[in-house]
Amino acid sequence: MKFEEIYQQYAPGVFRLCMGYVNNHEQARDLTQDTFIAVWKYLPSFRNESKLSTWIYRIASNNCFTAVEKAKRFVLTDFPENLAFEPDSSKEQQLQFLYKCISELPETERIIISLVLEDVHQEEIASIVGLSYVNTRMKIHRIKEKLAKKFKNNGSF
Amino acid sequence: MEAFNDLQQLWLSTSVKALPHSGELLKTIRAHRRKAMLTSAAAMAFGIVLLAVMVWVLFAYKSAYITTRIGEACLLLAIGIFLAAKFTIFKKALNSSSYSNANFLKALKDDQLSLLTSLKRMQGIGFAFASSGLLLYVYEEAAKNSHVVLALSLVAAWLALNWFVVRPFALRRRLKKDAEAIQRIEQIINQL
Repeated sequence: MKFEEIYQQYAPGVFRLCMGYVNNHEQARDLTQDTFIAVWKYLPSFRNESKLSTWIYRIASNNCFTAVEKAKRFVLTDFPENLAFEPDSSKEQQLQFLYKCISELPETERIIISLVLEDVHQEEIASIVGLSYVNTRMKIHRIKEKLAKKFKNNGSF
Repeated sequence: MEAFNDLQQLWLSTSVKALPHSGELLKTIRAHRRKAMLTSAAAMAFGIVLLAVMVWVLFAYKSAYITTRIGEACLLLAIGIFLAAKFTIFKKALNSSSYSNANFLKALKDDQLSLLTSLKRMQGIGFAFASSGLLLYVYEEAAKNSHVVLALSLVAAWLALNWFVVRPFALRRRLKKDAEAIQRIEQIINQL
């Protein structure tokens, strides 16, 4: 598979994953770019031991985790219970609210839920993050509940 | 989980217009690669040229003192240590692309911890070899010119400045940066 084709297919997903992690367009674009620089660099050594998507998302999430300098600028807080939200706001505002909620989760949960939202299979997510399948399923269930509850409480869905 | 499906639809509606075209990215990648290769090649070339010069001096310069030969050997060892350190870092970077997140973070933490100890040790050994090598090497020439004390004092002062001022400062800065990185990695590992 050519690099251009890989980029066209996976860049949007990687960008959304990075957005979920940093909640900032510019930083997400930089992280996506860094991810594909690594993909291009290591593609000849990719041995098909995992799915290509697993490998790419793994690089992307590792990139997010290790972006230490950038991370200093992200404020990590507990998940807010009572965030203000306009029930009749536009789709763009809802999207911003979704990113805000995700970016306030702990780092690994941000990656996990972003992969779930990307429709990546739970086995694949477990393989990306390095957790057992059961543990991953449990975590996904908890995060989903948190997010759904948050949106419901604010009258969004 | 209908509400969650709605969230998924919302998520997928994210605009990706900000992403560069693959052609633009390839240009960036090539520039990035050129720069990385140049930096790495420059450091390796510097070490190799230095090694070649030392080997040449070893054969071209007929020293009368045994101290000069010992000095040359010490300097050769110091250059060897420098090249080995550069090569180890390069090899580790090549092998880090296929781990799961948990394994990657653990390997990264272990690497950073071992780097801290080996950096201190390698720097110490390398600097000790380079310093004693240089002192022994200049001794013969200085002794012949009857300025032995002055020449050796100047070299010793320069070495002391590097050992007591420059090295601790650089090491402190590096340790602080690595300690922050390890702390952050640990924090993420604990979440997994």
